[in-house]
Amino acid sequence: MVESPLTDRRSFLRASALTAASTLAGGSIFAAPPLPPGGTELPVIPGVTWKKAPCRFCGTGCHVMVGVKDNRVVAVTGDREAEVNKGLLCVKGYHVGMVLYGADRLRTPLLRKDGQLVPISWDEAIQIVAEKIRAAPQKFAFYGSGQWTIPEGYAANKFMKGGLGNNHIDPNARLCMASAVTGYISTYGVDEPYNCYDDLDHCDTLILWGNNFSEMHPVLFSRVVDRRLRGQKVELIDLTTRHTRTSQQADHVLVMQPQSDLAIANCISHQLIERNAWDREFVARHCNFRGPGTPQTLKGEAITFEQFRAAVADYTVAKTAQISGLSEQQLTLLGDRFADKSRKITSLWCMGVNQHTQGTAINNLIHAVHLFSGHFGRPGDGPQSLTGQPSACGTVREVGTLAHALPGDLRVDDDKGRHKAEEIWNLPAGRINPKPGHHTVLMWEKFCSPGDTEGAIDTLWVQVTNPGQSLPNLHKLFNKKADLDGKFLIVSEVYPTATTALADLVLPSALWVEKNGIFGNSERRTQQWFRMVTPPGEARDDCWQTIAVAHKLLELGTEGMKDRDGQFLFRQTDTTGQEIPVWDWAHYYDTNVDERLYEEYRKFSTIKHKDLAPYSVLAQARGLRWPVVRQSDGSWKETTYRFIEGTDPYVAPGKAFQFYHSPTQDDRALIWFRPYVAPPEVPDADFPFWLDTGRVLEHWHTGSMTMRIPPLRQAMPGAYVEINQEDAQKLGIRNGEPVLLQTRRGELTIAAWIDGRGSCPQGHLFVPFFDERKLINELTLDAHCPFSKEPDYKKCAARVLKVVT
Amino acid sequence: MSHSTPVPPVVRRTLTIAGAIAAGVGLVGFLSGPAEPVTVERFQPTAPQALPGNVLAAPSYREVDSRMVGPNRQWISTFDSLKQDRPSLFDPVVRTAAMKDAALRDRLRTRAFEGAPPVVPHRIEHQSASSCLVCHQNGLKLGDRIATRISHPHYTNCLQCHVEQVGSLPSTVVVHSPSGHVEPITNTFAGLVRLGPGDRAMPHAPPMIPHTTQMRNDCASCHGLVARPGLRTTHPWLNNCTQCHVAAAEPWLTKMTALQNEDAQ
Repeated sequence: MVESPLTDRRSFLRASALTAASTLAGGSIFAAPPLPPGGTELPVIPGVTWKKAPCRFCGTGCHVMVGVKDNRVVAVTGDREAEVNKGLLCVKGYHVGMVLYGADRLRTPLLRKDGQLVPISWDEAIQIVAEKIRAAPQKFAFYGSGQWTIPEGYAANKFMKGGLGNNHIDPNARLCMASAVTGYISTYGVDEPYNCYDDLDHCDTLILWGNNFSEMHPVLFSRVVDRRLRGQKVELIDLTTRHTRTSQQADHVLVMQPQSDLAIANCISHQLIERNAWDREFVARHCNFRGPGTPQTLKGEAITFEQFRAAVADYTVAKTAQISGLSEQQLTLLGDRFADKSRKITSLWCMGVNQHTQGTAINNLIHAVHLFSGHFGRPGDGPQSLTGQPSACGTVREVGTLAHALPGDLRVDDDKGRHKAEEIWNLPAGRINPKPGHHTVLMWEKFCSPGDTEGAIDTLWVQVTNPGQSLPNLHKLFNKKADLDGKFLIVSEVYPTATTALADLVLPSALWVEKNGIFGNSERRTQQWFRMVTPPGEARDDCWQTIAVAHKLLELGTEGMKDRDGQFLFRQTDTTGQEIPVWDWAHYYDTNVDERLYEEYRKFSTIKHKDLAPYSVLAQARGLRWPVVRQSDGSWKETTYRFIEGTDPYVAPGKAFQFYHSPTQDDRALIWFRPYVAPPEVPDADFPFWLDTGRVLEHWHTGSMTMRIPPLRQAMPGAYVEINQEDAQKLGIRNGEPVLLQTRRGELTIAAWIDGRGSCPQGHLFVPFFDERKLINELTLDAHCPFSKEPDYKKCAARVLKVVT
Repeated sequence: MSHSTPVPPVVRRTLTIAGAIAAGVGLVGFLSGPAEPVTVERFQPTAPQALPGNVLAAPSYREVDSRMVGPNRQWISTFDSLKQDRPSLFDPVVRTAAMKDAALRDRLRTRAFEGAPPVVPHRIEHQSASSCLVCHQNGLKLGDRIATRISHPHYTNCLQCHVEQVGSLPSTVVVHSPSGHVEPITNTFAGLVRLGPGDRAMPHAPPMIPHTTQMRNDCASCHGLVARPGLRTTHPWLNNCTQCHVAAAEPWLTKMTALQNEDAQ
């Protein structure tokens, strides 16, 4: 007979003690998070099994529990055991299960013949890709994604750099967080935040640098604002160019002019010097000053405090008020906050700061105000960048799927880095090309140029992203392909998109829980899931597609597909040493290819102290934040805060802080000065408006997934241009009327929305980019940050014309 | 001085019979209601409509006389008088199978699957939590419309999960179908529909809770005084719901059992 466990007091006490102990052992320096409402139970329903997975959408990295019945996803609920979201989701997350079931899922490979896409077999498709690559291996490029799983990105990276000796591989994350990468590397010498979401539970002041947090990372936003209901005081300062849902909950809404964030950050440093309120001790022990150099470079040059003081002295409150449009009181408020050491200040940013022609500079400056003021290192007190894609950190930044990078933060143009990668991959010396490949904007420019152009790309393979909608200045960087001969576009996709519209070959892909996967979220958390349902029709894993093409090349005699011992690059063997034919779809799931690739990739992770947990440990966890270090008792411990003694195992005792990858190699972080630089295009008489683009709560990225989810589509059915009431009145435009929007690059007819979801100041426009019928990126600018190569989608000059109907 | 008027026997007999029939129907309905299988219609998105060009030109919010729509003094002062029909605790609860069926259908109208946050079946003109709570804090009945009471008052960012359904705006179409044709998008997701009815150990035993209680820790939100009539509890004066109604065996219980076994070893 089974006793009711509820009546067994001893078990209960023991369970409580275990919970308490595991909380302590988890390395958290905080109290245990509050229990999620509703407890942690899942409904017990006949025939329904529940498994964990990270959400498919943004970079927050919420975990969901996926209910599966008869090989179909039937329900989704917030994972109550997940630290990130503690059981809560946003409206996209609750409906993420429906993403698999849009009726127009791609089910078979399609080849363009006489202008029409017609079904072909997988054998033919793989053969065609391999032949295209063999025809001109150095004119081939791979365009990937921050939505690639870690094994997918790793396989593609190894295939290109280790197999073809071709570095023309770059991800859409170049358009999304490349500036954060250069910002971190030039400040701390190594990429990714030192801190984590725990800051949101502890900050007294939250400063949002051009980040509509409420709509872009709703679950994290709730994590902050719901603290108010528990009686805690959290001050929200919204530094923004337009009034948004975030502004509605903010204590201070600071509406600034585009690009003036550079001046505002310098003004804060200037005020700290004026008030004698900078943190002398922290700066003396842990920081160096850095100037931009002439002309500005990524590495800059060493400067003294006196030089720093003189540089920021230009940014007086009065002058900065003129540049930024903020009042002197608002600028003083920011100075007050940073001067007050008793407050814990968290700064967050995402696209507003990263999609910026001075993206690296403004990233440097946000780190600078925190380091200089000493608002750094305490829980709730520090700068942290957010990402927009579920594995921008995991697959792009850590796996190094950028044109200059290798896994483990190694670089192709560094001899040691190349040799290390060749060693781990067991490649003959010299296989990896030392010259960085084309970054995203250049890659597409070269694909949209005639084949005899220097560096031209003739065959381009796109996986897990939709550049036909998301690239800037689409006419120049994408649409031109249609007019060129000899260009071959391969697209691995799940739905028809603006990109498949120009594709020559379409490969149907498995999506989310139709395959095994691993993502890495914004706070260094690596998250694993298992396949739960089979993909529709003949759709297959992207990772398999890469391996199958690699093997086809091997069969056709491409030497690069062999390692030093003449074995296939992606060779997998069973326990008896027999090779498993993973390139054959029928055998792909004979083994867990994800696990094997991940375990191989893990060897890179220890090079820069980004140690990843073993696959089997990840499988048991709701994600773990690296470095994950093995303890003497055999357990694996994650790291909440890097560079800080007590939480980061790699900090030497007695150091307090140790930036052990410091750019100056002296364990110090850099406090940068970067000047205000005007944007490349500003409104003038012909194009008098600022045009800003972005997202809305209901849709994710280009909407190819969320627009197929009825509750989301019904909530936000189409794109609009947000326009100020006074401007609308002057132009005689009424709510809902179509207007013609023009820039120097393109035009678009779109409905006007006055004071709707958000509200623009006079002279400003905002258009979300999710709607494939309203391609706003035909109008945007491809000018980009000189260091990160990330384009600025947030500001260009536009005009609005009333459409007479 | 008064004297009683005797009720004619015919009337008395008719009333008795009518009363017995009513009680019988009520009893049968009450007993059979929870056990009866309910067929429900799946939530269907509105069919795609014509593309823009002829979008209605609505006035902007600033053009509308804000005294009439905002949460202003005038509006708040008259709001209480609009509330109506809030039953008292001991009013008899009538609940039939048809009413329960209607209630479940109504729930499905706003949910993609059991457990999804309901979408908002009305226009949203103000985006702050306080404007949601004007109606949803305590629950509200206006005519035949019910604003259910929030079941998770510890969350404030309402529109993060609950989104408006703008059926009147143009729905989307696929413009990039491989065939080159403009085609409407549909979704073939078939979600979990209804969990329940809850098991009873024996006739008349309190049913177990057949659904997850996540985000639903106030039972009265769906089963209380101001709720869809078909889902109302017959005994609203009893507040400690989980004293009698328990959830089915949960994974965490299994975990506890495993611990016990460890102890035993």
